[in-house]
Amino acid sequence: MSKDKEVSSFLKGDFNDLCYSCRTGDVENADRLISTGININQVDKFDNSPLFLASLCGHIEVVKLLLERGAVCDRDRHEGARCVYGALTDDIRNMLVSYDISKKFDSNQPFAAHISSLLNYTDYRFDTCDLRINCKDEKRAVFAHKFMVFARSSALHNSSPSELNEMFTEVSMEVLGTLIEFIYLVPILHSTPSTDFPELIKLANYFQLDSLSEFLNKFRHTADPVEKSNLIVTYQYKFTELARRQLKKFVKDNIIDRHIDIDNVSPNSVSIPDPRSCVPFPDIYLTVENSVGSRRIYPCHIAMLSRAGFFKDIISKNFQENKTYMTTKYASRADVEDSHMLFVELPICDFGVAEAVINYLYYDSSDFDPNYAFDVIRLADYIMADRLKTIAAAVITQSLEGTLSKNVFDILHLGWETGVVRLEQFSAKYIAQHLEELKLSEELRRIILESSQRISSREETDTIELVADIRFYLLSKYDLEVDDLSLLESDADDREFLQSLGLLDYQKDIETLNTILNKLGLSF
Amino acid sequence: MISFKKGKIKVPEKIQPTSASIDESWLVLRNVFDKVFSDNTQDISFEKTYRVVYDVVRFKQEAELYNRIKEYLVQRFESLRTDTFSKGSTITHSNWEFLEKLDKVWKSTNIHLECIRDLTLYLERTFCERNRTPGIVETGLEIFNTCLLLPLKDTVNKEYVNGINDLRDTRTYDNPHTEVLERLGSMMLTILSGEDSFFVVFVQNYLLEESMKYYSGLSDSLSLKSIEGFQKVEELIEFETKLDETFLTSDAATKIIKCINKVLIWGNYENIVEPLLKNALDTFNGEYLKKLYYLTTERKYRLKLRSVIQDMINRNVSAIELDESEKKKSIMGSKWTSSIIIMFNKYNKLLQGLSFEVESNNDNETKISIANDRLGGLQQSNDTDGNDNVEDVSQGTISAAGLLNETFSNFFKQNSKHSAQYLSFYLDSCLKNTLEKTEINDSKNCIIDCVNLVRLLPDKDEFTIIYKNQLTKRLLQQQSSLKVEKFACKRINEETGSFWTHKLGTMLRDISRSEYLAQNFSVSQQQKSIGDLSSKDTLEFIPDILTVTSWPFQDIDDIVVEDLILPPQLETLKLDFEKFYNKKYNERTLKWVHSLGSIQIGFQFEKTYHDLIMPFYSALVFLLFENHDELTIDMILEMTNIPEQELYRQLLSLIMSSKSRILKKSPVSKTISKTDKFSINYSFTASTQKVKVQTIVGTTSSRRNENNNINNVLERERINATNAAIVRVLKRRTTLSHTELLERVTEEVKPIFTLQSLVFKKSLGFLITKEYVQRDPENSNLYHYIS
Repeated sequence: MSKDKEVSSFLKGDFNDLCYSCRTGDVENADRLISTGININQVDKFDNSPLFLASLCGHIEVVKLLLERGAVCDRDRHEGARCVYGALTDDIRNMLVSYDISKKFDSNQPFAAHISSLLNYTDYRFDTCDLRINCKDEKRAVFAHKFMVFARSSALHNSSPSELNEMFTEVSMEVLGTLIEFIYLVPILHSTPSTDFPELIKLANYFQLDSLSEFLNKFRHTADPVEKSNLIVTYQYKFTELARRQLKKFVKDNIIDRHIDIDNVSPNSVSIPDPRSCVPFPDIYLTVENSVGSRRIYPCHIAMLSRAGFFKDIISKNFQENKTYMTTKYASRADVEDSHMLFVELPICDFGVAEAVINYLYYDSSDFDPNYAFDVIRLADYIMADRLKTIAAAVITQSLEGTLSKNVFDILHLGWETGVVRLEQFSAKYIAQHLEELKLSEELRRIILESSQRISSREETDTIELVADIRFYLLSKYDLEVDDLSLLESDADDREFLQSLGLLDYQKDIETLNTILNKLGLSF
Repeated sequence: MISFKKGKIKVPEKIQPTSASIDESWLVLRNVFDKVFSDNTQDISFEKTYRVVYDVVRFKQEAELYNRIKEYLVQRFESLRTDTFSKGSTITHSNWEFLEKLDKVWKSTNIHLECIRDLTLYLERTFCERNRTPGIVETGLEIFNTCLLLPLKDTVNKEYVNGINDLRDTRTYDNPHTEVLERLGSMMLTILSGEDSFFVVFVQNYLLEESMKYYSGLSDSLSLKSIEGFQKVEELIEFETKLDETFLTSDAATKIIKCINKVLIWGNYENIVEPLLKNALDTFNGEYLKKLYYLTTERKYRLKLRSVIQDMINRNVSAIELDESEKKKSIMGSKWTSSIIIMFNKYNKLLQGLSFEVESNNDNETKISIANDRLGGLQQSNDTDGNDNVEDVSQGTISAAGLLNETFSNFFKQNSKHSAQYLSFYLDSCLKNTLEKTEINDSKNCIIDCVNLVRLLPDKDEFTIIYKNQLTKRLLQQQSSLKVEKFACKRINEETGSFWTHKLGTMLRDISRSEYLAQNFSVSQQQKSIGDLSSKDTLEFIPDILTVTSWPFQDIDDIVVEDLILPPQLETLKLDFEKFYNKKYNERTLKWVHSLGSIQIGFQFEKTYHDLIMPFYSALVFLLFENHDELTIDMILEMTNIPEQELYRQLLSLIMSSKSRILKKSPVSKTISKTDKFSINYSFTASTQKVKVQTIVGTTSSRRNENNNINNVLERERINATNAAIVRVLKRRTTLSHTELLERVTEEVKPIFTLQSLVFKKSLGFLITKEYVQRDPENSNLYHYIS
């Protein structure tokens, strides 16, 4: 750890140079500095990121470079929102936004971008909207999801969708569109014409979109452009956070708390509320069975679950589930009675695990009981939610560090099973740190053997991956570089010097490892 | 209002945790796959299948599952093959049945494989990705290839080609069958067989062969002839191109077009190519030539095309005959030249835009050819075998102009005896037309055209010498416009290089400088005459001051007559000018060559007044009659000091010439004797005011003399140039063998003339005697450079 700090402090000067290049628009120099390995997502002492500086100063080439090299413009974060609204020109703003929401339905994309993308579906099979709102022009309508409108505003709290439509008959398409876009977190603040403000404020008040009306009122009375843009930046971030809180509340009140227990009841007598008129207006039901055989159904939404590949495929591929779903959808559009419902069963796990996954899919929550982390990774693997896998892996490695001992082998297994490299590395590092305690452990031998067998399925067969990893972490354990090893030969007589460097301890550990390998007949 | 009853909804039964046994799972999965292949995908539960696969992978049976899927697909495709394409059904009369079936199978296979991939997604994402094994679709296509397509390969080939031929027969490319072919084409490109696609490995060559057969059959039945035949071929090609671009790769399409071209056009060489070329070259209509050229892409045929065109042009040019009816050689020559120029320009226009590119075999050759091209047609070796030379040059890229240059260059070589001379005659006649302003532009164009040909001459030095002689004449007798002369000189200079033409430049410079001097001189004369009122009659004096070395006079002393007695006026003028000139350039010596001058005298004859333009000597004689009525030869000799021989010639012209008989003699006879008396022929008259008094050039012997002169000069200059070349070459190499030296020197002088061995020998002998070069004492074949 101390080494990391050293490295980062060593790079500090270069980072300031990078910031300077971003201000001046020196693409070549910025490119050079980035290639030295600077973390381009840090901030300087005024809390400005390189991306923000480049967008503010209007250097579109530098902005492009930074984005290509992995600069994060995550509108969910304050920093990302600042970039979007601080951008000097529309070109830069569009570029930033396109980098943020360009990948529609990418299961890795974070919260706000996913929600925005729900309005831009391209595949008809993925038209998950269940709410049609007409406006002044009768031929045109805006489509949305009931649950989202419900979660974000009070519009559907006391009125049915048809009553809702009555309210909008006087509203123009543009204003209605803006309102829906706001609900779906599309960054509309800079592009809304001030002529739409009165109507928007009226609507916002009506639906208790307090933060929007608050913003609009303030914005209307602000003249200074700098202040204006500050306002936009602050509020867009607020909106995202608000949406997150609202969705959190929605999930808790209307999904988790409205689960249906079916373990004691005969399956045929379970009554499920009408999904079309009752909150939370679900279009998919998740069935979960826990380890003691209790079963629960969670009413959910494909729109949100589709962040995970499994749920996306289940609807978009042409199988039975798709048939069921389409039948329901057309029935609902045509206002015909229909009793089809889409049930999807998850592998056996605790309810808490299922809920953790639901929380993640709805509002990006990574806040779950570390005890569930193992199962969350497995479940995430099952539903193909890779980002959740890495998040859960981080939870494991952070919360368990230093406290686990033999658990490490389970973690390694889990890493192999689910393909999370971070877990493999973590385990190797742990083993390297605790080699002395573990050297007699039967499990260590078994797992090295297992790792060696995994080789056969790989193309490159020269090393046992685990052993190579352990050797690597042994070096860092004693704060050594590969080059230092030559000292072992050149300065073999100066034992004191070698001891002070930690080379002798390192040598001892390596010998321990080699002994184990010899016993296993794996030495080479 | 939505009316929805709270209904009791069947909650799905729970999915049984699948046992570890792969066999049970496989039963389920096989069932699912069967449904996929019977297109019942909507009955399959994605969730349940996914779960089964997930469990299999969890229980580490993934490799086994993968293999079973493979086995399953093998079975599937094999049974598909035997069911759909059993032996009985392939022997069918309908061309399209097989192809349509295959198309259908291919379409559904794609869908099926994708379905299976989707259903076993978890396997794909874990097992395949982590082990870098090919995914289900990829594997499936491979199996499709080995189990279904490969065994059927011959039938596929046959039917595919039949299908294409069927379309060719019907001449339609826009029907459902094309789409079938298109899809099958893309299938064969998608499926890999080893390194390359199925199409490239198995089908392409067969298709080419069959297309060849098809079209050669067609060619026999159509009996294509001449231009109509070519038009037909064009139609066929157009059709084939459109057909091919719908379903073939561009590579295969080009190859097929090449095939057609080979079979239909070059296969019918006598019937199509020859008449076509003949027509194009005879009528100067380039349209078909262009088309034919663009259709010909193969090197072999392009070369052939080139040489045929060359032969034809050569034949046509050689057909130009000398008009023997013209008495004067110069008129005959210039007529001949002008027909050649017309021909050249026509062909140039015809071939313009066609670059006779021929892909070279390697870079080296390209370099050579570029060098050749750069020099245009200049580079003509003296290889005895002209054909070899053509082959060499044609190795690489040659523009149409290059082709034409080559052809004409060869033509001139064939006619080397008179081509240089005739071109020069033509230029002479052009330039003589330039006194009238209106004709200047025409003449300029003629000059440009002609000089274009000059650069193709094999012996440019010969041309230069003849041209120089004619230029001298024109300049001294002011027969042409100096401006145009300069223009022509510049063009010649550009085309043939400055070494041989810089003297032309000096000649022109002398003349223009003389004009300038004459002006200055006349100004100074006028100033003088203001003071001297006595000289009323001023003489107009046009001096030409010539640099001796630049002008083609063989021996200056032969023509300078020092002790000539001039009439007093002229004598003063002479002295005045000498004074004037010495003042200006006191380092230079001025020598008077009266014989090159002329004098214009106005004289009132009995009936008419005439301006007589006479050669200087004649004028001197004529002026004597200002003070004398009758003179004898001796008296004239005494009073003028004209060389006797020359005087006889002048007098003879003055009394004999039919157009300008301004003297008479008594007694009248055709010869001149010492006792004859001469007097002015007052009865002379002519239709124009200006009368040019011409000197009879003497007998035929003097003309032969002139030719000899030219040849002598030519040889001398060539020896000089060869000397220089030998020294240049040897200086670099120090020692060379005879043949090597000859080769290199030949190359050196090639742009200017063709080295003859006699010249080379003379030159070498000269250099050895002058001790520039030494023959090796031991090996007489070796030469050393003595520094």
